[in-house]
Amino acid sequence: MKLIASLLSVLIVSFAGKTQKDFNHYKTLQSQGEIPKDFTMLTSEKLENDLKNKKTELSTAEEKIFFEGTNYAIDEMLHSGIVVYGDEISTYASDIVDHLLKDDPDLRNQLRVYTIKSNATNAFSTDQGIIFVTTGLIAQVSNEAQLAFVLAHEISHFKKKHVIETFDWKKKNARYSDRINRLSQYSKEKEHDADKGGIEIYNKAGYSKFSIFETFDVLMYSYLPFDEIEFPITYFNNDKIFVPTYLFPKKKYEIKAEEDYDDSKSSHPNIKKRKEVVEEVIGEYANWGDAFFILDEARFKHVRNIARFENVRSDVIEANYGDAIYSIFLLEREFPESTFLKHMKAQVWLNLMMYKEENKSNRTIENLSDLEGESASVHHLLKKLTKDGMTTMALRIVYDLQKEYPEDDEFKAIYDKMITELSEISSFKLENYSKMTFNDAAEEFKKKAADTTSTESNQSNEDKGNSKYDRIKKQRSADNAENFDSTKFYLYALTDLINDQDFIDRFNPLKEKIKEKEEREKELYEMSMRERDKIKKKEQENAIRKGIEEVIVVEPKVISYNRQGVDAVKSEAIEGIYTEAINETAKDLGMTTYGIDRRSLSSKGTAGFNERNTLISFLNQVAQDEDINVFPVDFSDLKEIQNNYGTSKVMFTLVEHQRSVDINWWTVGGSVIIYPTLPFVLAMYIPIKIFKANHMEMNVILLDLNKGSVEAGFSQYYDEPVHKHNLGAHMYNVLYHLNSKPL
Amino acid sequence: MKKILTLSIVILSFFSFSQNTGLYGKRNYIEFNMLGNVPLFNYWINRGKYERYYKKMSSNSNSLTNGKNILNYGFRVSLGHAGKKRTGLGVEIGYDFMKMAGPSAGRYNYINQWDNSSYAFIDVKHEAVSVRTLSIIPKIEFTSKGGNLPVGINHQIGLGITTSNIVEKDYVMKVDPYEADYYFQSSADSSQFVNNFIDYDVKYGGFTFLYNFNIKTPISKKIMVNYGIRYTLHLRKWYDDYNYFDAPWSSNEISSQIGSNRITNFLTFNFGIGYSF
Repeated sequence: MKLIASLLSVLIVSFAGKTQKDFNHYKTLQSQGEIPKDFTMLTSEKLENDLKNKKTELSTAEEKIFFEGTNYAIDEMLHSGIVVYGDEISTYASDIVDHLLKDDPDLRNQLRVYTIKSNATNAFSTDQGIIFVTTGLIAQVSNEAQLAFVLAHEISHFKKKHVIETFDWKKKNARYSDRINRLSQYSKEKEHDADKGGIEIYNKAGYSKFSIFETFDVLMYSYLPFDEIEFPITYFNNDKIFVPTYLFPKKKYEIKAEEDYDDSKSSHPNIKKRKEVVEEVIGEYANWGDAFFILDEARFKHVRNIARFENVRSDVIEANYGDAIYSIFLLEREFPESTFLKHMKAQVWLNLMMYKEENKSNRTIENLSDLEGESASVHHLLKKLTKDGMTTMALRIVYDLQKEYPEDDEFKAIYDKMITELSEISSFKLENYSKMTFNDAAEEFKKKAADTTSTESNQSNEDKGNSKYDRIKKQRSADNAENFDSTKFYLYALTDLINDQDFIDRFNPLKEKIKEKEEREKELYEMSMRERDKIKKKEQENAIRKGIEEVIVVEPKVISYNRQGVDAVKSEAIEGIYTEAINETAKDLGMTTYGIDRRSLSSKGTAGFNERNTLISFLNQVAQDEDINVFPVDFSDLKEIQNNYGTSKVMFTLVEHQRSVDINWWTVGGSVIIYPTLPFVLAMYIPIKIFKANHMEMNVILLDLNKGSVEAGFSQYYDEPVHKHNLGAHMYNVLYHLNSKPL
Repeated sequence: MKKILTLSIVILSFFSFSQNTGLYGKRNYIEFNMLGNVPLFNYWINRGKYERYYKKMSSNSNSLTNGKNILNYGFRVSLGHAGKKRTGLGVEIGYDFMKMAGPSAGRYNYINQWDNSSYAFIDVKHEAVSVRTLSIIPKIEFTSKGGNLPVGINHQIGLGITTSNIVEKDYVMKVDPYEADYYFQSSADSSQFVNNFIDYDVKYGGFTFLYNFNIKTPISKKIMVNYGIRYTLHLRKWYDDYNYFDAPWSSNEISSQIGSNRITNFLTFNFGIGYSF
C-alpha cells in the first residue's frame, strides 16, 4: 500500500513537473493519435451511410434533407480549423463520458468527444454522436463535476434525439406566423428535458448535486474572463516606464448579469428557471454522491490551464486584445516564466499599435459602456491611451521582451516587425523622447516649480547667447523640466532605447526608405495623368507578379447552392474537380502545389490535419481586418510548415455557385403594358437572363508565412457554369500572374 | 472557412489582371457554329405573306399546301484573337439558309391572233423559295468585368456584308384554278405554265449589323463548346429595276422580301464548337 502511495506521489509529482514545464514552453493544442473517420469521410459518404441505415421516422425525402443538412453543418465545423481530437482536453472529457456511461456501453460506443478552440462557453451534441466542448467552457469550470453535468446534459440531448425532433417540429410548424416564439418555447422544453435526463446520468455517476447549481453560475458569468482578480494599476510600471493612474478607471465597473433575464426569444430557459426545474428534479433522487472529482484533480487543473492558455490564443486570433492582456495577467501569476504568454503579450501590443495607428482600435477595444468586472481596467486603459502612448508602450514591452530573450526567433521576428511598422508611423520620432525617466522629469519639474524666482533669473542667464530657434527647441523639448506633462508619460519611457545604436541603425534606414517612397509619390503626382497611369498600371501588374514556383493549396472550397440552401453533395463533387483543375493548371505552368485538403487527410493523417488547422487559424487571424498585417499567432508552427514544404506561400480559394434565372417580373409586366417593348423583352431580356442563369464567384487569397501577410487577393464574379476547365481557365489566369516575374 | 474567406476577400483590395492569358494561355480560336432560328416573329409579323407560303405536300409530290416556315439555319466559321483580357477581334464567314414565300403571280407568254405574241400575268401558287445568304462579318468581342477571353460570357458586335441569292431548284407552281380555266380552259393545262422568270444569278446585297451574346465553356484545355443568341439587323440594298411588266417579281421586290425576312428572323440561336490555339 505504501509502495502504491509512493508510486502515485511520484507520478503526481512528475505529472505536475511535466505540467509546469509544458506551460513554460506551451504550444497550441493539437490533435493526436489516429485521425477519426469523422474527419476523413466525405459528407456525401456520410449521407449515403445514413440513408442506407434508415434510422428516423421521417419520410425518405425529409430524411435526405435532414442528413444532408446536419452532416454538412457538422463537417463544416470539423474542418473549420478550430476543432481538435485526441488532445488532452478531448481525452479528458472523453474519460468523464466513459465514467458517466459506465453502465451503458452501447450508448457510450455511439459517442465521440472533440474540442473546439473557442472562447464561447459552450458544449453541444449532434445527431451523429459527436459531443463538442469548447476551451471557453473548460477554462471557466471550477471542478470536474461541473463539466460532467454539462456532458451529461449533452448526452441526454443525443439519447433523446432532440436534434431530429426539433427538425421535425420545425417542418410541422413552419406555417405559423409566430413560429419563432413557438420554437423558442419548444427549444426551452427540450433544454429542461435534457437537464432532467442529464441529472439522471450525472446522479448515477456519483457526482455532487451542488455542482449542478454551480454549473449554472458558470454559464451566467461566462461572458467574463475565467477569473475575477483586480488588475494592478502598477502592472506596466518598471524602472523605464510609468503609466499614470488617471488612465485607469476611478471606480470598478459593475457586473450586471442577472439570473432572471428575458428569455422569451431564447433557445435556452433563463438561469433562474433552469435552477428551479433542476432543484425539483434533484429532489426526486434519494441518493447523491459527494464527488467533485472522480478523475484526478491535478489532471483537471492541467486540462483547465491548457484551455486557459488556448483562451489567450483565441483572443489574439480574434483581436480581443484587452481580454488577452487580462488573461495573460491572470495566467502569469501561476506561470511567470511562460514564454508562450510573453510571446502573446508581445504580439498583442504590436497588433494593438497597428490597430490604433490605422484608427481601428474601436474594433478591438470594447466601448466603456459595455465594460464589466475586473478586466474592464485593461479595456479602460487601452481606450484612454493616445496613439503615441500606445506606440510607446508597445515598443517598450516588445523591446524589453526581445532583450530578455535575445535568442528567441519569435521575439526577434516581432521586434523586426515592430521596427518596420514604427518606420511607417510619421509621428514616431526618436528626437521627441526625453533622456529622463518619468520620475526624474517629475522631480525636476517639482524642483523648478518650487524656486520660481531663481528660475526666472537662471532662465535669463541660460538664454544668453541662444538664438530664437534654440529657445523654441528648448521650450518644446521633453528634456526641459518646465515642459513636463504627466499626460505625455510616454515621452519618458524610452530613455535606453533612444541611445540603442542597434535600434537606430535598423530604424533609420527604414525611415529613409519611407521618405523616399513619399518623395516618389510626390513626383508621381507632378506627372501627367497619362504617365502616372502608366506607372501605376505597371506597379499594379507587378504587385501580383510574385515569381512563385511552389505553393501550398489549402482545401479548395466550393459551395453550390440550390433552392433549399447548400447542395452539400454537389459542392463536394465540384470541390474534387476544382482541386484537380488547380493541380493540373499549376503543373502546366511548371509550378508545384502541395495540397492540404479533406481528401488527402486519410493519407496525411493527424500531422496533415494539424498543419491544416494551423493554416486556417492564420487565415482566420488575417480575416479580422484588411489593412492590418497582424503578427501570426502560431509563428513557430507556421515556420515548421514552411520548412516542411520548402515554401512560405499558402493559397486559399473559395468558389460559390448558384443557378437561378433572375428575371424581374415587374419588367416583364411593364412591357406587357407598354406593349411595343414586349418584343425586346421576349426576344432579348428573357433569353439573355436564361443564358446567364449560372452565377459563380471565385476568390483566391495568397498568404506569406514568412512575412505573415496577405500577398495577393483575387475575387471575380462570372455568369458561368462550374466545369473543370472553366475553373481551370480562370485559375490559370491567377497562377500565371503569381508565377510570373515582375516586369 | 467560407465566412473567413469571404471576409478576407471582400475586404481586400482586388488586383485586376490586365494581361490576358486566355484558355490555359491560348488566346486565338477558330470556331464552327450552327445557327438555328424558329421564325415565330416572322410568322406573326408577316402573317399576310404566310398566306401565300406554300410547301410541298411531301418531298416527291407536286402538290402544294399552305404552311409555315419551321426552321431557318446556317453555319459560321469564325476566327478570333483576344488581344486583351476583355477585348478581342474576330471575323466570321458563313451561310444562312432560309425559306420565303415565292411570287404570287407569274407571267404567261402566249401567242394570240393579233400580234402573235403576248403575255399575261396570272395568279399562281408558288412553292416557298430557298434563299442562301453569304455573310462576312468582322466583329469586336468584349466581356464584362472579370472576363477572360476567349472563354466565358462574351458579347460580339459586328458589321458585315451579305449577298443573298435564290437557290435554283424546280419549284412547284400551280396556277389558280380560276385563272387556269380562263387561260388554259382546264386546270390540267396549267402544267404548260413555265417557271422561267426567277433570275437565279442575281445577288441581292446588303449589310448586317450583328450583336451576339455568347457563352464559351471549355470542355478541355483546347476545346470549347459555344452557345448563345444572335441578333441581326439587315440593311438591304435598293434595286432600281421595278418593272412590273417585265417581271412580276422584281429584284427590288425580292431584295425587299429577303430584307424583311431577315429582319424578322433577327433572333437566332447558335451552338458550336471552338478550338483555341
